[in-house]
Amino acid sequence: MDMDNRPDPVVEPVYPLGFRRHFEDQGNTPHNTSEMRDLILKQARGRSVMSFDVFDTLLLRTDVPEAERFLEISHEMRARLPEDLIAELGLAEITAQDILMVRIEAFRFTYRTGRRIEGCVEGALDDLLAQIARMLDPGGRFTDRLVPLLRAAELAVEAASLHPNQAVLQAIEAFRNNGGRVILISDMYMRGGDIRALIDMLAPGTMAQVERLWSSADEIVSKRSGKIFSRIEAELGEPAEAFVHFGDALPGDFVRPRECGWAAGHLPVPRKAIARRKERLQRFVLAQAELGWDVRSWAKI
Amino acid sequence: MGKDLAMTERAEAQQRLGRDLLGPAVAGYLGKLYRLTRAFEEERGAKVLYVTRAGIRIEQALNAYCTALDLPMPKTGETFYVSRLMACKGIWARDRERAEKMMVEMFARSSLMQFCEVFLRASDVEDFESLRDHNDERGSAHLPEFLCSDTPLAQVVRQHLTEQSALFERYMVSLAPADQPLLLVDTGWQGTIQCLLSDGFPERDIWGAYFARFGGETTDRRHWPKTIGIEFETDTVDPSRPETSLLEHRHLVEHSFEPMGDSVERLVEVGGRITCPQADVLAADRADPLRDPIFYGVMEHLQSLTRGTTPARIAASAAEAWRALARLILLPTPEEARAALDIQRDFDFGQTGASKLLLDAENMPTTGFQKDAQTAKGRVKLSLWKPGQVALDYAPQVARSMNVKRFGLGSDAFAPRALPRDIATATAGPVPAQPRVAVITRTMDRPNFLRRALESVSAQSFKDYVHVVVCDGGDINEVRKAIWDSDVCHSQVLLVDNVVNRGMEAASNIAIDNSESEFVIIHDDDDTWEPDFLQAAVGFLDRPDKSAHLGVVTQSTHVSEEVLPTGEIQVHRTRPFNPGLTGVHVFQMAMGNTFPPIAFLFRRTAYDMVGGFNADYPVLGDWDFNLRLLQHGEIGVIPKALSNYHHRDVGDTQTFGNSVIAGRDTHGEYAPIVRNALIRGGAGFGGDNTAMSTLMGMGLHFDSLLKEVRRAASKTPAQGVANGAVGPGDTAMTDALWCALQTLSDAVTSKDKRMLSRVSQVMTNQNLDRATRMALVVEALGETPTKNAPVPPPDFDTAAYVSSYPEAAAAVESGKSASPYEYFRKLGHARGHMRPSRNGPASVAGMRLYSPAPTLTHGGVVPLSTVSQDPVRVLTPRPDFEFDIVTQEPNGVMVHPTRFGPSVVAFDLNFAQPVRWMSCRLEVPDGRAEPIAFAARIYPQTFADKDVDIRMKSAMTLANNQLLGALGWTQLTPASGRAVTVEFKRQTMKIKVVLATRVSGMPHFAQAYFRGVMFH
Repeated sequence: MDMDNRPDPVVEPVYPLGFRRHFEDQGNTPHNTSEMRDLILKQARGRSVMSFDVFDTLLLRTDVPEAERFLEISHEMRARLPEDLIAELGLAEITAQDILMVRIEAFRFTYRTGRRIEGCVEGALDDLLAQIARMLDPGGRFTDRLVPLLRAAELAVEAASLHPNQAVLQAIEAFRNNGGRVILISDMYMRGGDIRALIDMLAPGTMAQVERLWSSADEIVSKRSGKIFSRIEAELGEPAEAFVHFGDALPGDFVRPRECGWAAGHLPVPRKAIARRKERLQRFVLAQAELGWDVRSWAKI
Repeated sequence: MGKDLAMTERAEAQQRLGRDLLGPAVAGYLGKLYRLTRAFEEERGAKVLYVTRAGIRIEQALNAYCTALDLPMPKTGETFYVSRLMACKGIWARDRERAEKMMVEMFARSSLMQFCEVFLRASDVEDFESLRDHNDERGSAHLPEFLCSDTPLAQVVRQHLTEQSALFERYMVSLAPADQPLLLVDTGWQGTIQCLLSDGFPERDIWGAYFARFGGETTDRRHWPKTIGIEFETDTVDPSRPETSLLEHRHLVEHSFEPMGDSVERLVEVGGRITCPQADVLAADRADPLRDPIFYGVMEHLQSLTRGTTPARIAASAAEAWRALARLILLPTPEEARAALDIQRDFDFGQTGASKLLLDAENMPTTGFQKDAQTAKGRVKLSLWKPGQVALDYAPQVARSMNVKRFGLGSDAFAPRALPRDIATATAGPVPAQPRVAVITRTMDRPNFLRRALESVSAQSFKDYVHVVVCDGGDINEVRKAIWDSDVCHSQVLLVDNVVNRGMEAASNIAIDNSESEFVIIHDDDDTWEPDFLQAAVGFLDRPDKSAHLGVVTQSTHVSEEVLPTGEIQVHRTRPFNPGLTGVHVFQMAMGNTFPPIAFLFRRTAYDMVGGFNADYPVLGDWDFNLRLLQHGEIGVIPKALSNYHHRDVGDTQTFGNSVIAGRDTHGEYAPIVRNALIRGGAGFGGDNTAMSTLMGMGLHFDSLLKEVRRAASKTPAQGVANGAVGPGDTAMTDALWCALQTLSDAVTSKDKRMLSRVSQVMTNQNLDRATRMALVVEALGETPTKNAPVPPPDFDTAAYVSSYPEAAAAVESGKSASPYEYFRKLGHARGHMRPSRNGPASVAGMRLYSPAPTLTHGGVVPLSTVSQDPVRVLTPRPDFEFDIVTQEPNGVMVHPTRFGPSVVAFDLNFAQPVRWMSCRLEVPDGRAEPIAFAARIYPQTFADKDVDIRMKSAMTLANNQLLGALGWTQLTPASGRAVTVEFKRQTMKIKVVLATRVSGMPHFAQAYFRGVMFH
């Protein structure tokens, strides 16, 4: 073939749903939203059950990394302690750092010693709050007041760091209008009730469209372990081929569902968003190091 | 009085240690322990058990902590009277095999009788001596069979075990019902008691909370998911986590938390309660400032805490204390070590006695390990606190260096409030617009390989990449399917369809041009990475001190594999591809690539600088690219095998073969093309094409020679030369040529006009044949003093050499030599040092034993037997020249070649016993009649010495060659079977032998060998 007459190489991104990275780097315009919605629905064609991950999929996070959010939650908890309890329990010296430290210890304890089902273990917000309450009130006299207060602080900060994914909400509505079933599956230390409360806060009416919500904090088995999918199939009475799942985590939202026979769509967090979170995480780690804390073993984006 | 004063001073020092350092660290531990025990109690309904003996003091300390901070103690806490010995007794009835196995392990160094004595020591059996069988000398490994026997002693021991098991059973029930989880609290470290109890009482849910958890190679880790190490759970010291320094001095905690009273060896029932005989003594334990000053200091600190001290503040103080403790443990001063001289640890498992933490050279023990403890090295080996022993036995600066090196510590290790180095240098710069790495995979109709490559990239710990897959003329739909079927992050994959085949290098260029990134790497579809490849490579190039590096390579693993008819890729074996790669040198690269593309991450700016890959080359384009790149800067090396270079060198090597395997013909065709192009374009090397020509030519010659040597060496079973060991420096290659190449490379890069001119004169002398020119260049370069210390060949085992010849290390330390290899080259070799090679066992060991007709390369020693008349064949560095030695009396000879070339071979013979005569016979194949000149001199006399008479024992024509005659040589006109006998005027053990052809106009030796007979 004459070298000069050779056709030009063709360059293409491989995966149609890799658009999210591209779109969100450009910004969330209505045009992008409807395109994304259409691509999700195209992926779901022929399926009767559409499933979504919650955090960073149905509800999108800001650029605050998880570690920093934990510190914000700790500040909020400290700020919400009533004066009478502070006086009664001698909590004047307690800071957000103390609460954060106990929270991380509680996480570790839960994952280390938690109940195992099919080899899986999951932490639960209830356990974290109980540990924090016990640190504040070793005698346990005011647990009934403390725990709800701490939970409210947690949910308030979470809600402030999330906003609904309009493309996913539109896809849910369209899919439901076509007679499809919609479920949510979350690998999270929050129980289903807390997640539901967040969704109700941020995207009112959505839960009316969702048939069921599974949280690994309730089920113990998780998407990441792959053990939850067969349980869902049994509960809904549908075979694996009926399902398509969308989410941002490559192992739990893409690889494992496909291994279990589900279709799956990977909606990764945009690269720039990850980079911004990493940047903030680095600053957080440095700031903690200045205070004498080496948080690298647990601080994540 | 003096002794008492010293003791008091020591006690005060230890008390300060306890109060100021260990105390805050223990407070941090207690805070975590407290929250853990409360969580177990409240959320799991568990019972907390403080395991004797350390648990006694842990409970005391926790009590002090809670009192100071006004916290309620764990509600369920109770002392648990147990030890490993007691646990064995306790579970014996339930799991006899497990209990006896542990007892055998723990009493491995004791006899059966000693075991029985310990076992029954605390029992009601009063007259052990009457039961003892003095004739039974069996070791305790025979315990199981002993316990099955019917001897009176065995019956008594069985009875005791049965009783104790029954008591323990009731004891466990009295502590907690079977369905209540138990949390054992102890110092640590492996959870052995917990493990024993978990095995003996499988129906119970038993957890353990320890100060820390770590183990060794034989540790039973089955129950470790329930064994919680509060401060850390790791088996090795991690300088970034100061608390892990406790691994080197766990006795600091063990000794401090060891109360008065013996270990629990049996249970008794008193007033309906099951307890141990020493319960009162244990309960009465209190810290004493003189007897256990460290714990006393710890308690002082705990009692000083106030109600307002928050968990975070306690943790911050603990972190600070651990940094100081880590410095003390890992880098102690002699004074700090001496302060611990009196500390000792009781033997465990019921055995009496104690061992000291540190061994005092001035007061050595007289029994046991006396011999090993006579040297500093021996004492360090035996010591329970090795860094402390080093501080005691070595000069302060040496001790510090030793400890710093052992633990990989930085100069600011454990400085107060120091930010971890990698946090301190972390930059929070702007977010890069594009992925940092473009991974380029060229593929054509190999979907099975492509899938593996996709997974290799997706598995990388470093995630900021774009994976550009370029389909070079194959079926694009197959490529799309392979990508889709792979569980990889598809949004990071960019597919380029070349539509038609454009060639490997063109495909690379197209892929690179269609991406943007800071770094680029070619990941061929049939190769793979280890998961941390990109992390390590990007991390290397990100370092400020590597900013001038154009790229970095890692070492590689050669993977031999085969594609089965099913399409499965079966890996047959792996071996290091280039284990000696520690630097990328121009002179080495001139011979050939020392690394595969999969190993090489380079900067995009470097790629742009050299204009990309040469699309005209169907093969070797990477070599060409690498050499052009090297003209502009350095390529770094990560000396770790993080990349895998796959070869289909088993089975069908053509269908899926690499270009290096299947494309051998093309490689052969293009090698000179690539070389010539580089030579023509050699202006980069100071504008001197001749020098570049010489470098490339020598590289070719060297490469050919290497292949020849390998081919010859592979016929010799005793050599064991690893196939594919990289580069020059293989067993049979001389160091002279290796160093000469380096000298030339230095001359080229430093534009040494004088040297280059001299080289040029030789190389352009048309009166000499190519081989002779090469030899003269090597000789000239070898005589040139080098500016830089020579880089050792990959096979030179520096560590082994320094170990065998400490004077080499001393010379380097004193600055007299730049490196051990330089020392060997300049001095060691002349002194008869063994040349240690990684390629074979013999050089390091120094001795090889051979079967009849053994062979030996230079640098080895062989004992010569009078029994066998078979010759010992000496292989010189020239594969076509061999030398045989046979003795009629016992002797040993060491052969050192000192020079070789196309026309000359010289070697030193060092004999174990003096020789007076030497008879040599030179045989050449028929048809080759070139005169051979022979000279033999006793060492170290010069050629002018007339101490040698050469008597011809057979008719030989002595013809004088002008040049050789002037050197006092004897020229032989060889024919098969002719012999020369040399008689020395005095006995000698070192002989220099030189054999040479005429200097001018003669080809080098071919298949000539020299047979010699030596006798007294």
